[in-house]
Amino acid sequence: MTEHVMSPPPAAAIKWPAGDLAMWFFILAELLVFGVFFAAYAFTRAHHVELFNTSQQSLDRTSGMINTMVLISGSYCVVRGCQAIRSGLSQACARWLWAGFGSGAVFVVIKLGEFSAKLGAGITLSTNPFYMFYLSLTFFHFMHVILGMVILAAVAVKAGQGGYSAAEHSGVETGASYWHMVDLVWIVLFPLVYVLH
Amino acid sequence: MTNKLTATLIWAVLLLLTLASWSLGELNHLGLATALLIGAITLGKGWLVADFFMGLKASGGLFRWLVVGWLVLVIGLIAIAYHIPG
Repeated sequence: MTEHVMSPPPAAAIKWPAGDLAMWFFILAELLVFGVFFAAYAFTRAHHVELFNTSQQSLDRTSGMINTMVLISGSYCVVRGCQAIRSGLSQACARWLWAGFGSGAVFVVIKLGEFSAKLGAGITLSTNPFYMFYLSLTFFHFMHVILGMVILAAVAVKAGQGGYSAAEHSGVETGASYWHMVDLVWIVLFPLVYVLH
Repeated sequence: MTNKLTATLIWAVLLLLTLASWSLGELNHLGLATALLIGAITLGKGWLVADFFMGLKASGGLFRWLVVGWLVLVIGLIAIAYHIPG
């Protein structure tokens, strides 16, 4: 009997996402956590529809929309930064990454305004289930934006110092992947918390 | 790998889709069809980010389907929850 032995595919045939593989496992873990939060919000809402709809009306939907556009624009800047470094353009890469960082800063300022308005109106986590989810979900995401900005700043500084090249720029791709995850999560969070009623 | 033109087009489409879902949210009452449309827009936006910004279309494989699968699962669960009688 002839024995067929399956040989593993050559390394070049296996396609991995750009950046550090460990970051991708971290991203998947983060998506899982946010996914559980989103499902918990949606199923809790199912039992308090009127409360959620009434409370949601106090949110500034336009701020949410602007913040969505800001994060998407930040992701675009980061994509352009990755494209620049693949062409060996370190300084252009750094500029695009700083632009992405700037978009994060705009998001933070708008979000702090929202948090300030809610806390000023006496709204806290214990006000009702809607605000508990709104404040905790958006603050949890807010902290991810802050971490993403720290990562982008570190990568931008290194890129500006010529620390990456067309041949070796996995740090840029890794930081970019994290930033896109932060954007992806907000893309679901915005319609869930601000739009659907 | 996403080139400059593709990235710029995707960015513009994402901004337009964001405007679309925000506009729908301004309606006083969202019917089933409108809510499903918002869900579809969200799925489309997430898919574009995964494929073209995260570069998962080019790399393909397991990670692409894990991220897209996450989107489908989460948006599907939200859709189910929104149609449970209160």
